Amino acid sequence: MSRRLSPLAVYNLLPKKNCNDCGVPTCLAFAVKLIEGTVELNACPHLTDQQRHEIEQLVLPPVRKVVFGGRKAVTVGGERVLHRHELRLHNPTAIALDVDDSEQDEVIEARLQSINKFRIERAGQTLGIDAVAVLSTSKSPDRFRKVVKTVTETSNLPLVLCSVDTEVLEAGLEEAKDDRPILYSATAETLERFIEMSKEFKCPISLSSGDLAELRAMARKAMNEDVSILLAPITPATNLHEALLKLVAIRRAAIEHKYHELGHPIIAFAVSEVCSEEERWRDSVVASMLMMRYADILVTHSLEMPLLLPVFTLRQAIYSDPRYPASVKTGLYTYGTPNSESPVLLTTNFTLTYYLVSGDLSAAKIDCFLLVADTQGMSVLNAVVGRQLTSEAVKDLIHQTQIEEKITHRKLIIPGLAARLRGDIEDATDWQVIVGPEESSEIGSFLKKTGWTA
Amino acid sequence: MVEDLYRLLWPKLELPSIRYPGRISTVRWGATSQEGGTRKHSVEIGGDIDFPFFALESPTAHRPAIAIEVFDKPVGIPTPVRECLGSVTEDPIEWAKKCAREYPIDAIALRLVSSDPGLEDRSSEECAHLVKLLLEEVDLPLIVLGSGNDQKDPAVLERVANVAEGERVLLSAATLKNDYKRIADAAVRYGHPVLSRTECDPPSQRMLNDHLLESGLHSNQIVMDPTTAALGYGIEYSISIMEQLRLDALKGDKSVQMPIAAITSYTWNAREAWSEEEKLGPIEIRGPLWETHTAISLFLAGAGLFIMLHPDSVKQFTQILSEIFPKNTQSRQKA
Repeated sequence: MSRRLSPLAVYNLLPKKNCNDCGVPTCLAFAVKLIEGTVELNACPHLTDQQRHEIEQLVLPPVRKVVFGGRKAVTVGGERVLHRHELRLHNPTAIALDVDDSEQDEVIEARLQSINKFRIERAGQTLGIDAVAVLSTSKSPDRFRKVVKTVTETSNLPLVLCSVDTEVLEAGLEEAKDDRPILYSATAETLERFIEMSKEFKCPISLSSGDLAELRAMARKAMNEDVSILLAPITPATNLHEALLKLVAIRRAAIEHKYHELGHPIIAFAVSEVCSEEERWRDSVVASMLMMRYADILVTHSLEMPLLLPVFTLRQAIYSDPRYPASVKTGLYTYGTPNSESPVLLTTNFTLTYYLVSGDLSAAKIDCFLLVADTQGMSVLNAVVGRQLTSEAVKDLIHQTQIEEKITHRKLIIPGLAARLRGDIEDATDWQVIVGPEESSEIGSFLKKTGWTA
Repeated sequence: MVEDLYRLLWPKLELPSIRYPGRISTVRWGATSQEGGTRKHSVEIGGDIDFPFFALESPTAHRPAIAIEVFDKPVGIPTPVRECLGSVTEDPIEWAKKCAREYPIDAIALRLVSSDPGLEDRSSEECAHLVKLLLEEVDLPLIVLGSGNDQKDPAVLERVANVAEGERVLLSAATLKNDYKRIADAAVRYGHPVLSRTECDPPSQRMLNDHLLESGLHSNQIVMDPTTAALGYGIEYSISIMEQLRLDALKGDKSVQMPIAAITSYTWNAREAWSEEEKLGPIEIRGPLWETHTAISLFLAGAGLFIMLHPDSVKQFTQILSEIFPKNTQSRQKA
């Protein structure tokens, strides 16, 4: 239903010189990339201001981008589609952890240390917390100022300053002048003052209203003043059903109905008002639901690994580019310090397969070589069926990587799911093929059992 | 009655409504005494007019149905599931009874693992006997899943269809690689719906559905299973394929206008669900939550039937659904 912008419409506004000064060989290809959001308009040095303005109007994503933070800036929004398969989702939801200013100083400091230290290693990426939301529960400007100071001294993460009281926010802003924090959140009554602060400190503001018509009117006012805004249509007290209806309504209005006033990133809280020990899983599930349905910034509370890990993992999944199968570089990888007697294993370049195998080899502390075949991002089973993984491909890989010069034996361990290639590989190469386990976590014990210990 | 919730909430916003020409068929299984069976209720899924939370009318579909998976032989049961359920996992009847008694489920999904020639090669007759026994002992609607062996499943499901005549059991699964015609014929003859399973490929799903429709099954007797990949292990493929199928269906493609099933018990293949690795945090919380996240993501992508494994995941998912669906949109139809 969302009408896709034609690259030709953009191309007609470009210089049509195909000069490659932007790094893209042709203007038409540049137009395609502009629409995808993979190049910036500024990359083209041959545009007049008028042309630039016209193209900007045309290619501007229906959900505007918002940048916040100082030293470590984060970009959210910039989305063009409702479903990832229609193009891709661009800027991953920023995950912010809350810090309550009514807590004791030591508690706040300890929490900030934990936030800084939090790391998830997954599929080759190292992920951490993206931002800190400072809540003014004490309602005291002095206390808020002090806590914001502590936060900026302890962490370089972008900030969301949370209070309905503009005096409190001003006090906090004094300690974060150059940090471009988000001011959360203006109501219809306080909007004018928020707009002033936003202009003075060059920071984005969020707009709060449960009534989407009012929210739209507020956005129009802020946009007239050229202020960067986020929408905050729900509070922790909004029930889940209504919250999801509102988030979807806003994003659909922006993308399908071209309601420009609602085309801004959404900030939402996944923090239960009351939360019992047994029900702390709920925030985690709610966070995933809000993220899947268009929250661009999520504020949450728990730092427990089992609660955050699924949310980060889901984010990694839905923000991956559906146009390309996730793959890693083909070739020879080494683990530990292998010698000429060390085992040689084979796997595919599908990201998930590779990282599973890689993780298991590291965990098992095995010195070995791993040959990663180019299966165009297919997993072992699919690559065998789809013939991306063949005896010829293995032969070429052995040749290209010059593995035969590094080892004295000629034994290749192939994945259990590729067992049927055994004979073919042995015929195509002069290697002996050993069929390994189907499950990569069993590689360690498999090697030990077969006498291949490091 | 459907309520026009958007308009109630925001009368002044005047959002134009998007109405799709297509609507997902309603599939019903489990026959009550009034319908000649012995189930205490039947289950209805589908009827979607849009994705959850997308339509001006709310709710957009029947409340999703939840089934718990029960294995006929205790092989490959993840440790956290075994620890939660205790010794009942040794016996499928006891396992099913406990789930029916203690957890908020709509149906039981019996997996005939032992019929696999590579495992025990249990005969169709033995499988059918177990199904009959289960129908006598537990009065919830039933889903019967073969072992996944393409050679064996059609024969097993045919025999099961025969002995379960009148109970309207969901037979799983017809695939492009097995003798789907034989399964479809048995389903038509004995009055059962069928699960249509493909591997992450919408064109294949369309093709298989068409074959099943040609075999005489009606659109309201088919549930699609376009493959459930676990969170962290390709769930993005499942999400996008389900969203794609659903959009095509809503736009009018009759070949895919069927409800979608998500078999979240596969989640337990994900390392994060079962690994004892300490830095990932306590397994008692992490494991079930991994399955809940998988279920909730696929619910948003359009799935309407969930075949789950861990009782805690079932409880969590049910609690979230109860916050979303008003009481009067139960998927169960009382006898």
